[in-house]
Amino acid sequence: MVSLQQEEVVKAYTSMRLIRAFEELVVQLVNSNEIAGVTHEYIGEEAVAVGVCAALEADDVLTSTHRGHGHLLARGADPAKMLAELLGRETGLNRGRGGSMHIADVSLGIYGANGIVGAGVPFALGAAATPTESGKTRVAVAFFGDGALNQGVLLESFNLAAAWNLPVIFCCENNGYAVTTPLAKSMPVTPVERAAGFGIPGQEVDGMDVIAVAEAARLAVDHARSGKGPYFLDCQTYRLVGHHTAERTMNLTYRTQDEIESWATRDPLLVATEHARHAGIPSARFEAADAEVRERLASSLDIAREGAVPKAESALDYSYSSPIPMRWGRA
Amino acid sequence: MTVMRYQQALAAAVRDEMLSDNSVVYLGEDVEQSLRGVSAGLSKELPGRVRDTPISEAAFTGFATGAAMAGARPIVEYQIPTLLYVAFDQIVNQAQKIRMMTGGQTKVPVTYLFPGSGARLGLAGQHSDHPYVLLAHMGVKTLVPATPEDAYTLMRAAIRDDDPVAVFAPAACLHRKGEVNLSVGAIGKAVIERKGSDVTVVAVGHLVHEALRVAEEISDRLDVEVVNARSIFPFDWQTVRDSVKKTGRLVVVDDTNRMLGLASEVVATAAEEYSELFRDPPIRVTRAEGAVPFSIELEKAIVPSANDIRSALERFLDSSSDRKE
Amino acid sequence: MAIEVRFPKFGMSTVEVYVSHIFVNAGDRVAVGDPLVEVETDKVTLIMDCEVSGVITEVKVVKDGEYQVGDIVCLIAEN
Repeated sequence: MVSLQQEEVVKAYTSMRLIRAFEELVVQLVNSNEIAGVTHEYIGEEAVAVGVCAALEADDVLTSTHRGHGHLLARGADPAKMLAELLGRETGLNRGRGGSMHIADVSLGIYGANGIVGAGVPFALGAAATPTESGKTRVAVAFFGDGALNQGVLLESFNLAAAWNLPVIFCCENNGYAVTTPLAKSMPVTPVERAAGFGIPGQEVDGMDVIAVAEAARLAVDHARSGKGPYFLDCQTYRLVGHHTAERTMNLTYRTQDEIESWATRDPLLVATEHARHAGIPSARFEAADAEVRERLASSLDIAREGAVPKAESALDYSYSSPIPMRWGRA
Repeated sequence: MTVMRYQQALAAAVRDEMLSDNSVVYLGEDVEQSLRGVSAGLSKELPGRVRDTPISEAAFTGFATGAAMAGARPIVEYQIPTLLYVAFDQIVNQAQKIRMMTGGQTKVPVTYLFPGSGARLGLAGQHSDHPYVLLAHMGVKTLVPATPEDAYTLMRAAIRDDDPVAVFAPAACLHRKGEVNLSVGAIGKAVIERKGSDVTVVAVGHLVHEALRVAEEISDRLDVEVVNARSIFPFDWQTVRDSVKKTGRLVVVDDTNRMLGLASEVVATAAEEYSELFRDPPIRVTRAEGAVPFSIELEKAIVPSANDIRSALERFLDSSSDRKE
Repeated sequence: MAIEVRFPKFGMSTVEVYVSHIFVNAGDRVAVGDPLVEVETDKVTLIMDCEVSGVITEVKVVKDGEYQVGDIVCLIAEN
């Protein structure tokens, strides 16, 4: 069943391990208050970002969600600059101006995490419709959760992409819950049915299996890039932790411990190593990958912590590309 | 110098920018047939660069943002100015903030055009607002050209600007004829349309013309200086201050609701920064606080008129204040 | 019986119209489809045609005049 080359599997595993380790570190930093505010961890969903990004090329673009760290890491963003951003430093990807919710690396075609559910989706359409310098067709992936399937602007975007035949991959990271609300409570049809209603072909994908995701993503990207229009992926996944870092203190009862443990047996890191075992890849490769990730993350944190805190006088900086006078609130 | 109608000047500015820059694209509802007249003929002349959108203001506004980040320079037309409300998150919470939130990684050079804004004899509640202050408050560069020359020069400036810029073309200005210098204007600069020494009237959009008419009529009793604000944000604070320094009196005429309109901001700033220059308290002439009812008599009662401007100015004739030397 | 020919509504917010050319004089016989006046609005320049046949009894507009939607253009005595 393994259709990826060995090196690709190891690469995918390493990328997922990096995301997992990064997010676990972030949880610690949030709880120790070194990272201000709350973040939304991607723990359990790693296979989706890694599998989809494996199918993308250099000019391609993606839009992210409030749960965006995985997309950035999967697409190759620098974890040191990401951590610096989460720590609010001048050396962060967004120079400390965006934080977790708006983290972006436009040079990698990552148009950013977004704090408004569904709001970044139409950006993908505009990017997909804009010619590249090379002349190659640019594919844009819009990531969003199952909750976003009911947001007006996303539904408008489904229609617009289909009406204009745009090369957009609508990738639903379906973890079954919009915060505490199960999908079935808010939506009387399945995600694929919804997309089909807008004229968009699609499929369900085992979102815990990076190889399955990569295969589906490749199909979707080929479909879009060859001029057949948008494609929808219902990547069925699960977040093994709460909606955001503060949830553990909230005593919510929307899901059972049994459910979480059941999904944990399909942890994407476990699924990937199973595939690899069947393909004869020695476990030493994965242990090496784990060690590499640990080292990389440790040095990334050191680098991030060295970054300067932005000066108060610069609070209005970067607001305009063609600068204009701006007034402070004080006399 | 060419003589043009405001509407034509707007269209000419769009055409001239689209001809000189291939990255400029025009989208909105019914723009290929050009119901609003700004893109007339362009879909034929520049195939593929003028696109009719579905009725999905949020999506096509967001589309423009993504296109801009990918290198395009979109103009988005809102067929009815109050459709701004439907696209509000996409403008003020997304496009406007992206540059700052990404620490300057990208720019969003989109122009939002609102042709035929403001009330216009019977368009009723939902089609009569003039919501330029809502965008200005959120830091969006916002322009309200008053003359055909403003329309041409500022529209070109808006398109060339690398940030989101909103242009409101007042319905009552569209038919106006005037000389147009076919050049690119400057955002953030007001224009003194009439020099005077007794009172400064700062006006917006079609109210500039009303103010000029009243200034002529009252010229035997008061020498009125009329400032065409043009740029709501960034606002030309210096020109207003210099004018008030000369005249000692300020009237701000603004086509928005009384609560928290442009007039409020101009008067508050003046009071805070140079109250010593005033020989009389400033006066605001604005809309009433309420939506515009359908019946024409009711509409006229809500929006500012030439009579309102005249009444405000006449109050200065009653007072007997001396200029503080 | 004289029919009043008035400026119709041109678009949603057009109020002012300008007469840029007058094709008829009082006394002219006109048929359906004959041009009456050329009108400039904020958006377009177009020609208003006769919708009835008859004789122009009075022309109420002048060239380059500014009028409002609803004003009378001319009077026609229908056949």
